Amino acid sequence: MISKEKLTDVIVDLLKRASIRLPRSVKEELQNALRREEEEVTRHQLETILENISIAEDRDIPVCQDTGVPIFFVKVGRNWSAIREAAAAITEGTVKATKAIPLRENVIHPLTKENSGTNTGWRMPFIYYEMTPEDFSEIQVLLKGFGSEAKTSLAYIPTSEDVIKGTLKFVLDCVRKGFGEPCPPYILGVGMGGTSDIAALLAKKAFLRLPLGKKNPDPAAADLEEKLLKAVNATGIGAMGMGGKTTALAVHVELCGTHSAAVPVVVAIQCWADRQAAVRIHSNGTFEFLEERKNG
Amino acid sequence: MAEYELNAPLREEEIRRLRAKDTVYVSGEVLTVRDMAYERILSALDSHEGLPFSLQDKAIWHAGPITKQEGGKWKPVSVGSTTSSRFTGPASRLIEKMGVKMVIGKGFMGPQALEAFQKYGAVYAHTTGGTAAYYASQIPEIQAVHWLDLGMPAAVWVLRVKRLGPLIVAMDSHGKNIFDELQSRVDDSLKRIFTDLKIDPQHKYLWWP
Repeated sequence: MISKEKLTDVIVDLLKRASIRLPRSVKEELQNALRREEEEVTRHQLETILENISIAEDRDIPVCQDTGVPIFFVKVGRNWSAIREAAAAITEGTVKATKAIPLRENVIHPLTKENSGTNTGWRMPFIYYEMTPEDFSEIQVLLKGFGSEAKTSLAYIPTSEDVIKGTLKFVLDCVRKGFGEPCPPYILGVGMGGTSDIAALLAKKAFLRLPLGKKNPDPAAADLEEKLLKAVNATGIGAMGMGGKTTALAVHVELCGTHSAAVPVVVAIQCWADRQAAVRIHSNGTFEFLEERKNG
Repeated sequence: MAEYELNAPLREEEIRRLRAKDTVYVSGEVLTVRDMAYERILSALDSHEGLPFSLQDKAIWHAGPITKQEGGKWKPVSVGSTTSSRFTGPASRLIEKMGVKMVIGKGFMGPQALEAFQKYGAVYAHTTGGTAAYYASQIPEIQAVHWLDLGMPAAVWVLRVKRLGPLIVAMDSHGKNIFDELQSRVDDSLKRIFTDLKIDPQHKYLWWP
């Protein structure tokens, strides 16, 4: 079994990995975007982004100054005794990581604007739990910056409408409105179905899917992903809104069964600085950081 | 599309020389100003109180840095831009009332800002968003920090920068805004996309909102 102290250290390391190094497929897609790009000003945006990624890795510093708010996704495996300590270790690890890396002290009280200085407090770091029948457990972190977060949108498409066309129109309207502000080339997460809260969670889970561009196994969703990616990139918004071929590196759609009256759709955006990391903890207490893990 | 080296504090004539799409590198003093700092500056302005720093002829940067203390001195860790559109109103007032000459940020700023740039001789310089490790390497020194009680991201950090850039002049002091052209190009593309997808852009597909 993993001790609380050890788990706290693992969380610090997890936050370090997330804030400094981007997933491999994100870097590859950014390089592909540069290869495709013809507009000079836009090429320069992509070159700066890629150089920035190298500097962050070389100097062990956060890739973006907005290290976001820490959101954790915990998969609780069978017989995971450390679950009793998990929440405390995640909170303590966040406090330590904020000093050690350092992360920006982002978390404030939503009404008084008091800053705790530790990225914790008032339910932060927020933890989603999920049970899994596996022998191992997993902790995944998302450091969500607010330039892209503040562009999240929700709509309901009535089933009397063509839901695919409605979704395309809604997503394109969101993309047009956001333009360069959510730091394209970005990853679009589209959550469809359930209720608003479920669709919003699925939209976030959608952009956590790695490697980037991996298709949804549902053929209808995969088809929509392809249509959306093509349409979003045809807008020509381009990197940082400077005009160009790549606005989205990937579009991921996640589905949930919903009410026969309407489909809730949430569009969430993850900027190119896709800060996420995951660790798998085995029941014997050993652990491994997952580079390009499967989604779920 | 010329390239300029500027030293801040800035002079109006060198700002007036800049045209949209030009590239600039800024050296000298740059102050970070973000949400809560704007709020405090404007409330001081409204109540005729003084500020612990001057903004006359200064370049301000919409940035909330990560910093750390080393041997009693503040050091930059990662410093990059935050989204500027939300500061259109307050930035316009700082240009008018306090003599700010350059606003550095990312994304759009609204027409009110463009008007202030024209009237008082200022520009909006666009950075690449999120590339904070890159820009931190262009900051040799943090000269001072004000209002640290607002928290690390919201405090006013007085930075000494060395060739900060390349920055693109996105809105100049002659009423030109690079985003106007970019947006109309995208709107033309969208018309074609909707036609190809057989989507009627006037049709209301949504129940809510």
